[in-house]
Amino acid sequence: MNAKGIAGLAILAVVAIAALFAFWISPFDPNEQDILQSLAPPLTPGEGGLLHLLGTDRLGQDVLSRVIYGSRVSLIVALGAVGVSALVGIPLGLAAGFGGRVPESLVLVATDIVLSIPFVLLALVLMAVLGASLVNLIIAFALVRWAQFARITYSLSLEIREKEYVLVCRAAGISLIRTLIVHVLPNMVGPLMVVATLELAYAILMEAGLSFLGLGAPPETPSWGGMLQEGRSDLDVAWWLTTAPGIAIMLTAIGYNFIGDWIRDRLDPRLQGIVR
Amino acid sequence: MTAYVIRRVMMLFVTLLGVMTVLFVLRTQIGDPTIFLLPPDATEQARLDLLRQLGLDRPLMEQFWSFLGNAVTGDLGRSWRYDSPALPVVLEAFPATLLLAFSALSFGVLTAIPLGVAAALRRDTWVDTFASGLAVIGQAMPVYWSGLLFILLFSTTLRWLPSMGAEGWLALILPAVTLGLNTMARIMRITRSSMLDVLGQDFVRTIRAKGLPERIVLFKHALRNAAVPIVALVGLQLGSLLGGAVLIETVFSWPGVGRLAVNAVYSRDFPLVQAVALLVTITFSMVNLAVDLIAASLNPQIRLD
Repeated sequence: MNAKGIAGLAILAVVAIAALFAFWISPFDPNEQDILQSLAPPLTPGEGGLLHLLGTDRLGQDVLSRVIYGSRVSLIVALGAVGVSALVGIPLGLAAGFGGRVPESLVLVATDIVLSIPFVLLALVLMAVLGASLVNLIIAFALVRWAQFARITYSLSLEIREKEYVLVCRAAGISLIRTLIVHVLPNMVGPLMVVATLELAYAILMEAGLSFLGLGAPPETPSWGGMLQEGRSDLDVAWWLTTAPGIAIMLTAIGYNFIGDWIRDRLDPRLQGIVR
Repeated sequence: MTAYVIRRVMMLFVTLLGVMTVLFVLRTQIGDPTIFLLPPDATEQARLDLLRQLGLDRPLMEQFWSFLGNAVTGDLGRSWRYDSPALPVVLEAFPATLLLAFSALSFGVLTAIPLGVAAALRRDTWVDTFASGLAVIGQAMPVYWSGLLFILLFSTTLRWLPSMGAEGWLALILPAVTLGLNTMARIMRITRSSMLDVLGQDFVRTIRAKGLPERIVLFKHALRNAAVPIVALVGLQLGSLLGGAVLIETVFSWPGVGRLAVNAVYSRDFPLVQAVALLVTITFSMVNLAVDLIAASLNPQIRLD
């Protein structure tokens, strides 16, 4: 394992620990307001002798605690969204690759349609229709990004379906479904993992972006994008409000990207041209 | 070639039909717009009148056909908020977005290609390290956050550049650079790897052995051969730039279609949202077609079929 892979795993381990143990790690209740401590700069002493390490926001809520709790939204939405996208997209991609002409053209036209609208725009409309909530964020993401998985699975299928072992399976009378699950899918795992990590990084950025626009996580849930939005109006008086969640978003995205790069380096050169 | 272009254009129409169907279905799901458009104390009669006026009292299929039919003639319905046709409102805001997207793209390409080439030539030196560091950060930094940081540094603290609006050329700098950073990171990565790939090939060794000046080796032969994946990526980037503009325009109050769309979503002005989505989709698809044709003309080995 190279330095990139280790760094990526380390970052994601920190995020996962923060999300799982937020209740024990965070120094304050993320939603506890303290008007007397409004916009306190970092390292201001707070209640009970604890420091507000990263300061407080306009309502006197502890920024560090909100960043820690915000990792939950980020992690849940990213894993959920990418998981559902993969569960929908991979079977459809296989159907397009192995199911004959009709499924092939149907899936390809559908991916073309979905991917020709810029994602932010479509997600914006979907969230307006569905309403701001974590489940709806996952749904909105999956409704669009399944196409990315379908497209890559399809391009991988084009190559694999010509392989002898697929033909041998057919000659041996093994059902197509079994062939796909037992023999074809394991040969796609690597490239699909690379896509998944890229999509995870994308999901993090987009979730925060939608929350920033007020169309992502519901306002009462601490989320990194929502914190950026709240901190925006106090940009000139309280830089820490936007710095802390921004760094959290960036580092998490870097973590996923590093792991993706690492997997890709291990799999090269087969991935050239298929996964960008 | 001509057959290919015709097929692609036909495919574009199929895609647009699909996009319009998706948008129509979403509109039917958004609920009764009169709740947002009328004051809370409006009478039932006023509500029904407005529904009829907007054409929302008709059967869904009929609404769908007239939506498609009108769209063909360039009529994308009337904005529910502005009380004027939606298309002109969007067209008026479109140049600002195109200006922003192309400035960002130019910034990205003009910085990324020299940096990417330099990183490939000076592999494993500080230049390479600097370039890949920049790429890592540029790819992971959300535009809405880097935008806020730039405002904090260049507008609030140093007071060099305006932080909002579109008055004068100075106002373009911050949003374009912010939006272009991500593009720069991606293009730089692909330039570097594509150049490394080409520089390792036999023909480069041959022309170097022939004694051609390094300048010609690099820019006339190597870069030209490395250009295909770069051009393909530049085209893909325009899609994410148009998408990123939605967020950037909100951060910098830039008067383009992105901000228009966000505000239209907030106020449930669906015809306006539809018009923005359609126009952006058409632009994006046309650019993709153009990019594929350019890539094919750069490399005769690519067959269009």
